[in-house]
Amino acid sequence: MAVCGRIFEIVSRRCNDNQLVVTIPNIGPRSIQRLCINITPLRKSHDLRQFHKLFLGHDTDIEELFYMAFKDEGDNIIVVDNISKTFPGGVKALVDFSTKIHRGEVVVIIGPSGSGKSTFLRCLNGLEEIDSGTIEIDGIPLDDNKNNRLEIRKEVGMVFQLFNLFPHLTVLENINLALRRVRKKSKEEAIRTSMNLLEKVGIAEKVDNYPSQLSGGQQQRVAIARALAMMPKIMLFDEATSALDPEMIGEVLDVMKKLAREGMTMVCVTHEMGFAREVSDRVIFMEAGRIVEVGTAKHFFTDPNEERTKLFLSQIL
Amino acid sequence: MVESRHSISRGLWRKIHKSPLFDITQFVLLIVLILWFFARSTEQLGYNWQWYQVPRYIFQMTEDGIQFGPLWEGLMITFRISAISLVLSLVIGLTTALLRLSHSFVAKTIARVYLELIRNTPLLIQLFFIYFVLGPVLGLSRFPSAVLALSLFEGAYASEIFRAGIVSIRRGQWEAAYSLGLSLFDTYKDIVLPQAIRRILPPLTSQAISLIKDSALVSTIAIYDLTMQAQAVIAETFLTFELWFTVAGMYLIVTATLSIIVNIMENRFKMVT
Repeated sequence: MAVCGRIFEIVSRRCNDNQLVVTIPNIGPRSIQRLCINITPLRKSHDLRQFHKLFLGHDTDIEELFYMAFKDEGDNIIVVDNISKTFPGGVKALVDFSTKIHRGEVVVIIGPSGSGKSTFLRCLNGLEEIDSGTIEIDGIPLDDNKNNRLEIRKEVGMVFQLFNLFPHLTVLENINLALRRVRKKSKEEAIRTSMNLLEKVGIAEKVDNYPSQLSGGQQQRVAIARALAMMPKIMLFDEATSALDPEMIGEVLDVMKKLAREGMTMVCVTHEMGFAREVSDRVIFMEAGRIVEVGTAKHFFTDPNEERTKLFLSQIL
Repeated sequence: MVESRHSISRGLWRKIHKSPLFDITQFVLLIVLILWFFARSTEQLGYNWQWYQVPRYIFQMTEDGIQFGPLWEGLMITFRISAISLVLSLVIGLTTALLRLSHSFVAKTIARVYLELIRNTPLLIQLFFIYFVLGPVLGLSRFPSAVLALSLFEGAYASEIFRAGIVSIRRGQWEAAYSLGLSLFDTYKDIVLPQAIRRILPPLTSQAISLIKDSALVSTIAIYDLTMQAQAVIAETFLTFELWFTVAGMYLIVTATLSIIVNIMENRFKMVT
């Protein structure tokens, strides 16, 4: 249902004229090549499965269907073309890396350490400079233009492994700050938004505490709220649960799942395979700065193509 | 048997060690020692102490009310020079630190040249240079020359303190600010400097205290600060030791007050941990 809801959102957002034409190669027993989707019954039913039954009448895997449907065309919010990044010292973090991420898609990036996962994520909002290639976020090129960079930073929220909350500010001030300074909201409005977000991540009662007075899980939830305060179109999660005690991972993942259900575009570097399996639309497996394999979570965990992927999965699962 | 006696004596020792009486005894012993040392040395010096003469050079009560003496006036000058120089040196220090941390080659070079030039030459010569060479060109009189020299000198040291403080802020803080879309100015103002200031307050205080003491050098260009006034009075009265001790005491009071104020500030800024 979560996935369906999100796909419904993508579909309806992309349809101005109630008609959407998608190309679906080699799907289903009858190999439907071209599918016309009428959006109206979708709107009524709010349930893609029902629509699926109605129009296709056979039991194809709906996630697979839509992954394939949007794979090549569609509303790409992140377009990464041929980027490379070499760190001083000669370590190649990214080698001719290309990918496209659709609006509302949840992408999980996995891979052994040093494979360039985090670097890729950090390139997306300009925390790392790329050596070559291009990145486009929601149509804005990430280049040397300062205004472009600022725009992108506003649209892309990021959650770090070590939370990186501001220790000298209270929880409320942490969330408020960007709203006041960047979004130029009034104090009352900023507080209202912040309180809503804190309620959403479930720690409204900690509003006047300092980060050091919170547990790791709570801190990370504040960090998520802080990033959300900017109303970003994309959220990047850089190993958001890796620094947490095991009993706190769940509470952070819950918030992330909630976000995914609401249709947020998310790119997550994570070692939480459960999360990847449950929430992600697409899993990218990286090694040595390159993509080894891409696929839906289902495909990825049950029937990976590459030997390297199988080996990696056998090591971590 | 032997062992138990040993443990009893150790317990007793610990008891003595922990009692406040022990601390007081130590302190009193120290004072007695210093006084004894002092008495011995004056005895050998054969100096005729005339402390009773000193107060009138600070202030005296007359029928017209309080009359301030030359030392008090000097103290006020010292105070004014130090206060203005302190503010200016902080501004110069922060600016230089930011220039050095910027990505501009020109800015970095300017900051570096200023820093090395000032740090590696004596303050006295800088003072003379500004007063005798730059002064006539720029139309600076004694007081502004002195303030400029002191601020430039202390600013160089302050800039290194600021820089160390800024660099000590973890990279993640910058990245978090950056990812929220904060401008460089806001990042410094709201994130980096408020955290850095807590770390650099102690070394900055030492620097401020140095500044107050260094301000004694302005007497060389005939500014009647505390030191210069003392010299003048000594020339008339030959109360050498009494006055120099008094002057030292007055400097001590000013610097100690500063330390106390900073201490209070530090406590107020303290981060919850």
